[in-house]
Amino acid sequence: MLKYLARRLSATFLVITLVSMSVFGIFAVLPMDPAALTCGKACSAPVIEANRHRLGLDVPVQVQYGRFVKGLFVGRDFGEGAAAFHCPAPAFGYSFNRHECVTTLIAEAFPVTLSLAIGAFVLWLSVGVSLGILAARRKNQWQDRAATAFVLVGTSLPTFISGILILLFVALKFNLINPIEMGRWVSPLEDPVAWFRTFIFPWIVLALLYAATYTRFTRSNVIETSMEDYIRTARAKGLNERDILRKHTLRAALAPIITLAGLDFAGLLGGAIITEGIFNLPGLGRLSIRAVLRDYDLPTILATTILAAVFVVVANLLVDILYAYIDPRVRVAS
Amino acid sequence: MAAVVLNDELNSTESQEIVQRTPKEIAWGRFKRNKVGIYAGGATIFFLACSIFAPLITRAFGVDNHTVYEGVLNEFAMPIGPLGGISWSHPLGLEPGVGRDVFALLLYGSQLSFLVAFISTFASITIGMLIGIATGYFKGKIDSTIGRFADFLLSFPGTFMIIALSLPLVQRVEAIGLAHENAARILVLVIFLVFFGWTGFYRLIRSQTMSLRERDFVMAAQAMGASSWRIIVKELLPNLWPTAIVFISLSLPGYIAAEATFSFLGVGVQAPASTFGLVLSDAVGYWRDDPAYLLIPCAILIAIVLALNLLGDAIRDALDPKAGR
Amino acid sequence: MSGLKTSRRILASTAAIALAVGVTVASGSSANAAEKPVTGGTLYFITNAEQFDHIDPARVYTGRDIAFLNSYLYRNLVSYKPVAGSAGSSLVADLATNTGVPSNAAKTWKFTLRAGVTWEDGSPVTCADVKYGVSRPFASDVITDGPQYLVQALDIPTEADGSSVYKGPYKKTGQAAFDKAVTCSGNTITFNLNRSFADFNYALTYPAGAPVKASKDTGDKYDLRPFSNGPYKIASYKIGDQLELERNAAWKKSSDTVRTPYPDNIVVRFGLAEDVRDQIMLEDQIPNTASLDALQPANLRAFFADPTKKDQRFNVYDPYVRYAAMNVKKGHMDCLDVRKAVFFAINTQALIDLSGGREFYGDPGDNPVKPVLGLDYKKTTGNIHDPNWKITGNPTYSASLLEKAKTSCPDAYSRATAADKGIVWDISNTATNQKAAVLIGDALKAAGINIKFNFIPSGQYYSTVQNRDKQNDISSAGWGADWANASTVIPELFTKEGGFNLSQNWDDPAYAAFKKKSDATKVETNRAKQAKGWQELSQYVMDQYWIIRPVFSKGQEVWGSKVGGVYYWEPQGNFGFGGMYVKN
Repeated sequence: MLKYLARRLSATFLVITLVSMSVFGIFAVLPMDPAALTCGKACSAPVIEANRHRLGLDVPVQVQYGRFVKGLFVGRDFGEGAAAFHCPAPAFGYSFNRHECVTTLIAEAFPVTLSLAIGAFVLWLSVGVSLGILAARRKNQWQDRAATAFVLVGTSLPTFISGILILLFVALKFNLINPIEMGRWVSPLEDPVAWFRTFIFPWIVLALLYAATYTRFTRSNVIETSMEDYIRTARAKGLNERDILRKHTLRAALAPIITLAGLDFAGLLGGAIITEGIFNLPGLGRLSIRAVLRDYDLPTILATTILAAVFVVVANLLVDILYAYIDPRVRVAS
Repeated sequence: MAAVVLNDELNSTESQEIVQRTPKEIAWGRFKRNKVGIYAGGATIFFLACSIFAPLITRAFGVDNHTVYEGVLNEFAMPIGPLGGISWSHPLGLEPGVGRDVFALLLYGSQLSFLVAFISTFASITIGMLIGIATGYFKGKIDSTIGRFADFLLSFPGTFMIIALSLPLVQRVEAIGLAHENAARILVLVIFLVFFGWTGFYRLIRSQTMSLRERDFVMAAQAMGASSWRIIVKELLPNLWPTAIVFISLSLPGYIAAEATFSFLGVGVQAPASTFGLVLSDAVGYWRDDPAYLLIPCAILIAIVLALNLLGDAIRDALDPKAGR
Repeated sequence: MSGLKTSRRILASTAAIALAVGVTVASGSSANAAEKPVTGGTLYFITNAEQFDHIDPARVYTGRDIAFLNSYLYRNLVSYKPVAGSAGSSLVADLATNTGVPSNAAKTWKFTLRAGVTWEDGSPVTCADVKYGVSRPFASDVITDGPQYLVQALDIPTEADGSSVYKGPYKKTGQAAFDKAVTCSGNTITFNLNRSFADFNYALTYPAGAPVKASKDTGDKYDLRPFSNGPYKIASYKIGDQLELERNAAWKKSSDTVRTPYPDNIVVRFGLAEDVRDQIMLEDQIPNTASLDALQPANLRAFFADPTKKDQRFNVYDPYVRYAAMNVKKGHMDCLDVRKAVFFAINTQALIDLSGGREFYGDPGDNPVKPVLGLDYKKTTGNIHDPNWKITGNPTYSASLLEKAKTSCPDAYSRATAADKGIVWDISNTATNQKAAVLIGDALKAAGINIKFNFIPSGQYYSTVQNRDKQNDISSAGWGADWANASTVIPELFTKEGGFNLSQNWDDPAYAAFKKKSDATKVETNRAKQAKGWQELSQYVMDQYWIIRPVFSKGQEVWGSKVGGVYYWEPQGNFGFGGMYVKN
């Protein structure tokens, strides 16, 4: 097991390095000049050059990458003379647009995205899985049909449409949100009620889509598993249906769902761009979109992109380890 | 897969009278019995026909998608009449602020949506199919390299990267002279959708190819000394097409929704063209005064995606009855 | 609404383009004189923007932000009088005891500081602090985006590339040159200028001339937490969330003849969705709130149609002229007939209706200078006064102009009409502009002109079009005078050295004469003669169609039922923040 762990960890580390290098490479070759965007008026060549230097874009991309990596471990200095300042490790760079170290911005945005992801996760998993099980057990009865209808509506509603409709025609129309506080970050430790009110509609919007997928997935997995020989055997032995479901069917049927859920959750941690945008949540999704649309704030864009990828890679690792723990054959196979 | 289908069908009780039917006939027979599928298929054909024949249909209604109609907006540039100006001459009302016909805008808009969805789907399928068969059949080093690359691609935040990179890439495409304006924007969007989208299909085909490879009939062909090319074309491909059809039918609604989402976010085509996403992002600002302008396009878009989803489900059930049940 | 990079009073790029015969200026004030202001409470402001573009005094450059910050946080040597109407455009001594004493043909200006003014930590505001504040804009690699008047006007040598030899207080290169240009003697600060500058004190209403305490300067980060010497100080500021001000205990009313701080706390909430912001205002959900943005057009109409809200709004001519700049450089809009053809084809009425109609959007204009500038504005001839101009567009006349262009400038003609080429129009990517593009395209097509639009993300709009290589044939823009003199309009917009020249007109054969006249008018100390000069130059600009379809635009502000003391502060084109209070 330890050997397997070591192998997987080093592979993951390699992937993270490759991801960060490719993100740097992709953004470096684009004809987008963030320095030229920092000064519009009389943007003379010397001013652009000075700004390029200030942004650290006056050196080859591999040097920029080297500085980035170094900054992650030892922190990074910006500016010159009396205007110099330091971003402590792990430094993702400095946003001249927001006048903050990118790490600080990420640290502020992350709890928002995390809250959004966790709440939506709990909601979709509980609704999706229980509805899926119900539909499977009451196959071809009205519960199954209702679940099927829910799946169809859920999967056919793009998030931006369900988000807008819920915001405009439910939340705003019936004054269900405190408008001036909408989207503001409140820690659940300080004020759980306000926190819940901030996130409840975004959770619903996100969960709607995922819950539909999970209902479908759970239903087919449960049905498929319940046709397996060992379940038939259990039934033949006279075990009652409830025990069969709990002890045998679900255990086998839900394992692949855990994998899927882990990866979906990790994907959300990178920022739910549309939902955060519609509900004004100051999470990683809005941070990154704002960085693109406002000033092409490269350090923020790079950091959020890399981070989102890292979440997925790490989730993959965790899921693999979990699987290896459950099923020793995996360790040998890969 | 088709062989599996055949066996299941023969074992089942309902088809005792059938002795010799091709898998195609069996699937079609199963599809015909699914009422929802038939309706969804009908609706899909209707939407597609509306889209393809948009110029004829709009002419029949006496409207078009570029005329700025006069005398249809009041002094605040809002449509005159109830429900966003719905009337016999403008069946879905008028665009506030400008005065174009919403019906015509959506018809032509759906052309773009279908165009993006079809190109993206078929490009993903082609790439996924080629690479999936190659890696699944030959295995070895290429297989593991491409498999790693696909995993690697999956870790990138696709939606965000499309938004962040589309503007600079469109500029580059225009600078090269490959395409211009909306054509360039569509091209870039499709490239991105395919770039992040082919991996799903590739995995499916790869795993199917790997299992087919171990099947008796392939082994038999190999034993008879058939070339790899012959095995792929004659033995593997015919058994992979049901998977491809199911994948196409389930991808299309996804790509339609994705195109709408990206044009809503300002990535993709721009005025004077129209798509569902563009109309909806505009309509949000008028939701109090002209809710019909928001809700009608929403309903139509949902209907299209729903019809395609239902059709996709029905096709899958017909070709691969085990999957959905 | 966001990213007004660069320069001065450039109209927010998210604002709609469209058009606009200017008449007299309506002055808005709903302040009920009979009502007595209330001290205390929390006053809220809400906005869709994520942040103030800047709050560092050296970098702030939009009317709204200046008005807000100058009313609450920091004091200039001189300020605008905080009253409604045109009296608001007169200067009052603020940190200084007078509004400046010019000498040496207005090349030397002296100000004496008031005694007893302190920073929020209780230390006195000194002449050195003012001098330090003035030095900061020279550090162009740290202090971006602020006004450049002081940098350009102070008598400091320049290098070959045109930049000042003084590189600011952080690097201190060329410090001696700066120390000669700005001198402190006791409580008196002297500015030595490189030219006659009769209204230099107006330039000092920009906070770029405000004091900064050197020991509290944090460089780039000063934009998050400037040190206060006004009646409030920053309690917290988080971009995308909120700015919270609390009373500055060290501020004394006795030292400040300008400010009247009524509320105990002032909170600006950023980043509200437009629908949410509009809902709050329409339903008066938070009555002690004012909106920093105009509402969306449909909601604005609803608000103004509601008789119960008649004391919670004003609708005035703002300081801006919106226009479409013609890039007249060779290969672009270098043909007068083509420029005219575009202008006469456009359906002005439809564009105005799209953005709220004449009542809310504005009037078709005939001048780069707005009538609000008084002296410098004179009705021009030609353009919208041409008998061929129709408010709904005149495609027939436009086609006849094109026909002329066929022989007068065949290249430009073919560019404008060929299906594969066409004129490219830069415009910021907003929902309204997407529609305006359809209306303009439709109108020009009727005249036989092929037009294409280059939609640029709003936040990057001005920095993109001001890049001379990236600017296309026509660019939408908006500009407001920095103070009541067209010296802050004509030279800025139409000379090569100007900060906002989107016409690229310096290769035009008539440019040399235009520039010479502009330079002479700029230093003219006889105000009446100067005004005449600007009027003639404006006429020339309009005759050349360097800009087309200026709109004398309007602005609206709305506030909740519990907000009192609101008036329109004309020089800043915004609320007179200082008079606002929360009713009981």
